[in-house]
Amino acid sequence: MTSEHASIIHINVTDFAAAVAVAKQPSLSDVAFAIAREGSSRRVVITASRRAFAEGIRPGMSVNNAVRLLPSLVLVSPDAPSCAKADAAIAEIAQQYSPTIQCDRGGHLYLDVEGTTRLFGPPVDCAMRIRNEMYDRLGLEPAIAVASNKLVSKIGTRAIRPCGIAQIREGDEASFLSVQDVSLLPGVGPSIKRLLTATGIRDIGQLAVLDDTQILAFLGKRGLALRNAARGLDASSLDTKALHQRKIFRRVDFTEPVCDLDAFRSAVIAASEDAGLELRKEKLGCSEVHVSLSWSDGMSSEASRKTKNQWILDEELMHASWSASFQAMNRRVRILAFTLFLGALSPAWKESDLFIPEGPSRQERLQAAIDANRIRFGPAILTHAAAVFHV
Amino acid sequence: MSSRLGIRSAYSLLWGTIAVDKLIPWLSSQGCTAVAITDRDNLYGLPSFHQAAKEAGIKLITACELLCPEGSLFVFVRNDVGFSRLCELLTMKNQEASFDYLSALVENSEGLILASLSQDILTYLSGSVKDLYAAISPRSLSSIPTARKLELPLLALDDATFLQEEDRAVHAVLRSIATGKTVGTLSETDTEKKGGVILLQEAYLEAFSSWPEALASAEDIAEKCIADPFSHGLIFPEYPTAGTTVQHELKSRVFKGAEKRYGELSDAVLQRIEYELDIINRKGFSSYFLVMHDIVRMSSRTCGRGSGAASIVSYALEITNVDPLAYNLYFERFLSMARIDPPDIDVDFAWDERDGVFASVIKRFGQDHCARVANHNFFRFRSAIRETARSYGLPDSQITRMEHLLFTSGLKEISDPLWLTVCSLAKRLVGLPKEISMHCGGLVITPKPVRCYAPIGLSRDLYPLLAWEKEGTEAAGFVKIDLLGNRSLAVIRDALSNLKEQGISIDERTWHPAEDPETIAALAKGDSMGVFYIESPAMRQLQKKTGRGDFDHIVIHSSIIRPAANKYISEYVERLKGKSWNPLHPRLAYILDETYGILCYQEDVSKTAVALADFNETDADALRKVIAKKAGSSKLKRYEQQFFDGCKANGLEIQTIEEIWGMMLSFDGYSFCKPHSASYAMVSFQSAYLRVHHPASFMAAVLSNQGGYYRAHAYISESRRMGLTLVGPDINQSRVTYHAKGNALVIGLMAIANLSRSAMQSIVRERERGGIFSSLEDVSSRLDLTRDDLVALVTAGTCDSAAPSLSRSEQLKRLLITRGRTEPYGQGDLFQNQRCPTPVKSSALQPRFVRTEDELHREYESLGFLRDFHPLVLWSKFLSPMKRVHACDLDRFVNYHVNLIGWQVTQKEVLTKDGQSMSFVSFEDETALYETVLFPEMFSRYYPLLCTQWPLEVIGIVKSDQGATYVQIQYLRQIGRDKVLEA
Repeated sequence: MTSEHASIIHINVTDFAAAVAVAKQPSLSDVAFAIAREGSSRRVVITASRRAFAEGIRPGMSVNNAVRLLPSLVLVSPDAPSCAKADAAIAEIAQQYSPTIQCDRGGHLYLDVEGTTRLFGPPVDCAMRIRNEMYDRLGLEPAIAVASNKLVSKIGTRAIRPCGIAQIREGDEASFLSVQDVSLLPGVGPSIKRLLTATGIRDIGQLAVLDDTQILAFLGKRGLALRNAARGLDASSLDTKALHQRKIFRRVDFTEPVCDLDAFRSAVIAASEDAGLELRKEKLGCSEVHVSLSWSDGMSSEASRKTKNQWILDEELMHASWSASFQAMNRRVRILAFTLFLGALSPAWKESDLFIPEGPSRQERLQAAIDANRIRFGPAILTHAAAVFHV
Repeated sequence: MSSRLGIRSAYSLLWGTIAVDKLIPWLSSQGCTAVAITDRDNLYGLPSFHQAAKEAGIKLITACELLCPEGSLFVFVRNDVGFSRLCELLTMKNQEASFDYLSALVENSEGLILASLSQDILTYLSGSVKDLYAAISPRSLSSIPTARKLELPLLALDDATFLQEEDRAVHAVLRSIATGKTVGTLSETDTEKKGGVILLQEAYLEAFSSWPEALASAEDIAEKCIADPFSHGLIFPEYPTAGTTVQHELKSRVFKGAEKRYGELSDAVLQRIEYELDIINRKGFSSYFLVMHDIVRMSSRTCGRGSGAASIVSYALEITNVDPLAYNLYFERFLSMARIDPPDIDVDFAWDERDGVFASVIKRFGQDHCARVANHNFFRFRSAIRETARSYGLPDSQITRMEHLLFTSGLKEISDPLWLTVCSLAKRLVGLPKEISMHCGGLVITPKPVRCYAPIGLSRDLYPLLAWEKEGTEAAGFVKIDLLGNRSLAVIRDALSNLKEQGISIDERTWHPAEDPETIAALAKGDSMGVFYIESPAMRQLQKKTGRGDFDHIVIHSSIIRPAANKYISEYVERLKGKSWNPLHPRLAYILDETYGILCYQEDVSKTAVALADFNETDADALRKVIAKKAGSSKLKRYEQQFFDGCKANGLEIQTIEEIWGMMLSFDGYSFCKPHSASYAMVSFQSAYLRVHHPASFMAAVLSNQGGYYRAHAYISESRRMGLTLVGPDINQSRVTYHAKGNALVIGLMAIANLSRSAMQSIVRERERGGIFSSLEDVSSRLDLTRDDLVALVTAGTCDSAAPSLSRSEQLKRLLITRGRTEPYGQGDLFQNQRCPTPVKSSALQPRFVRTEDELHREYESLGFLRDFHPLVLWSKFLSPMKRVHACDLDRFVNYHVNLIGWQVTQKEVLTKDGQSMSFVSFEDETALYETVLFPEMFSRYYPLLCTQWPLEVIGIVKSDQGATYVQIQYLRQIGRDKVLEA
């Protein structure tokens, strides 16, 4: 989608995981710290805080080296739930200003504020409000850029990071881009950057002025797209689909990390029963069961099961989720949490069988009776015997 | 009589828990007279079971548990034919997981006695095999009805995996490792069923009291089965010799070789040859030497190492390269009538030829007749802790923390109950076998297919792999050959070949590098960077301290520089420089005089034990082996007692005995015998000679073969210091590897980062085909290179000679633009204009472009060094204002504080006695290399600065340690870092 005016806002929270950690624990703001997984023996730095970065700590560096390089370095475990919450909160703030938003994970978000001038003022004012709100409510200080398309706004935030606001007016794109470092251009990775630098091309402007022969010789057919990008041309629209995909999920957080098969099995059953109840209440069926195990070393593993038909009953869901869990349970580490997703939801239906009379089967009648009791007295009133361990 | 059959040991990998050193004493205590240890689908532990059972006076029945889909089948070896059949069956199973034992046994089960608890197996085999028993065990009597029905005799089996019920927890950990689950998430099928604990003899008899015939069958089987499957003697192929005997063939080859080596044969040489041949013939090893002779001829050059280098026969056959007479090497260390073990010749080959040698050997002797020797890897406490903790689901970071507390901080007590469990289980894992891998060089060759003698598996590289490790292989009677890789042999080979190209030939028959005065002088000064085995900073410093570069001293130095002997090195240097000393005991005088009274070689340990404690030769050799294996075991304790008792009986004072024993223990882990050290020293001298007399070819070969002690940039700097001219990398001169042209060292294309191997080869090929590249357009038209290759070439300056007047960015632009326009010869469009030859502009007439700082930075990134300058030139603006001492003048500043520039070359971190880290760092500036030391406080303070390659300001005090200068660092600072970061 192209806009006649500069109405695309890109929000970019630099070093998102580190920024979320500071927002959660403000005392970290004056500390050189790095995000690294807790569990593995050969840990690497995932994100370095600004102070740590200034001291030479880089993502990808082994934690051992980082700590020897900077003995005062504080190590912080990645906090995926908090990051997810922060992502959701940013989206919530953005949605107040426009219904057209594209949520990319990791503190990246686009919104198109075209037509909202009467409500919130010019886009740059809108960007300012979002920035202030993010700072006040979430403690996050993003880089925000307003431009006429996603590409230029993204380069805008890259150019000003770690924080600040930039507005690239319609028609100013070329002059803005021409002086920016070529590595800010999306699509320029280490290999292309090496090639461009070796040919003496350092700024985006130098790339933008290459003729067809040169750009094809330097970068091949892909070069044409890169040159278009260097000229600020981007016709892509915001991808808003992700918001509308529906899933039923249940998460079980163990009070202590477990490595006991019975305890784990009871959690799988409890989650399946609970999610199944919601599924049936809404008269839905699912064709996909997806499980995710969070391990105590910060890693996670996933597995899923699919069917061409539908799973509706507890027995079916339990069987599918246990089978997927067994596949995912492939590590010698304790399990911290178990998450069950029921996906590919669709209205519950039943394939009729020529030789079986219409009407609910014995299993369905039993399930209906169990559901009725659970709805009346609470989900825990009636459960599979194997789940009692967990209860 | 009491026979116990069907016990699984820990060699049922990641299943069994009973270590053989516990099982055999336990069986002894129960009055057991025969045992069949039946591991699951393998005979890995057979040699060690055999040894332990023999020592305990128990008959070992060779047996195995074969795992079939229907259940387990227990197989007992009745005779040699049965042993071969069992080895064949296990080999086939190792090669194909779906192999069906049962149908193979129906076909042929000769020499084997079979028993099973499974009704299905019994039904299947009944009537088809000869000796079949229906097994019953304390936990399963289910086969009795089938036995009655099929009229099979019953057999009492232990069917046991545990010595005690508590072993089940260890079993769970092992199963957890095998399945990748935690102990809590193991399912029933993953582990041993209920029971499986070996019963006390009384309970065992009680359990089978209702079936006395089953117990009788066990005794019967014990009676029928052979006790020793390895009684066939040594296994080595006969060497076919047409019309003559192997003894004559060997003698003839030895004399021919000796004449080549010595010219006219002196009495001493003849006498030694006759003496050695007599022992070799009497021990029946003539074929072995002939085979070794054939093998060494498969490679360009070799270095026979180990005790074999003490043999004149090996020397004559060119298996080794050291004259044992000239260097006083004792043959008996290698082979004597008193020693029962087979000879062991280890041969080094050029690293890049070794795989080819293996292939040639296997081709020459037959795929079925060769197998690589295995390694048995055991749990050690550290790995056991880690694996057990993982089995209990503890994350790696927690494990690492605990490891640090236990092994570095010396934590004595653990309060966490989970960790207590982990540690207690881990202790029980220690010593249990964990996995089988392949020994790096061990090979056996057999007259019949190897699978007739031992089960064969497949290594990851698809080599046939023997079931047994080095000791087991020898115990089973195989004569093992070690074929190992050595980079320096390739260095010497390449240097000689490069010299030959330049018309310089070295006749190796008359080449005596150890007698070359210039080489000796260079080694005495420690000028040995790139020289085999003696190039490390520690070794160079030792050379400087001693000031000796002759062969005898290099032999001593190569041996004494082992890790555990540090404290004896300074004593050695002092004695060498004239400090008076007395032998530790008069009896040691004649043994240790040549090494200044210090135990230096492995055989010194044996000789000392014989001289002072009256050890016999066999025990003395065994003591040497036990110490070398770092065995803090009961064996070592036993020998220690024997040594102390022997010494006391000979009137030695306890203090002297302790001092000598301490010196003997410094041979743990890593040590050399004198022939080995001499063999290595010969390779050192060959490479040192080349370094002194043909430095360009030598350094080119060192850089080409990589893998030396230092990185390429250090060798490049050393080349500059040696006065060599560095050329390239250049598209018109460079080959893939480095090479020399007179005094010029031409950098190889291999030095360029990100340049593909195919690009390197195509450049060289095209240049050989069509001549030099006259211009960039010529490069574009003749080479089909990718963009990444062109970037790599240009940034390294490879195309400078084709366009000297252009900046490198301009070179790249031209190459990229002209790259797509040209077509390969003969492939052009019919209607396209004929390609006009590009006008060639003579490079001599073109002005030479002065490279910018930016280009030099990129060149450094690409090569890791600069073609024309020391890398410090990149920081010249920061360095020029500094007042400093140059490293070449350091000797003049002993005991003074100095300021130096330091470009890090290498670093070695060591632990002090208190467990603190300190470091020896080699630095260089534009003028020389120098050594420094950072004691713990300085090291912890400045460690971060040593993590990156950045020029440092080095402030410290210059010290001299017995003539070797070094700097004790007091302050380090990165030069210009602040300004660069600001910028």
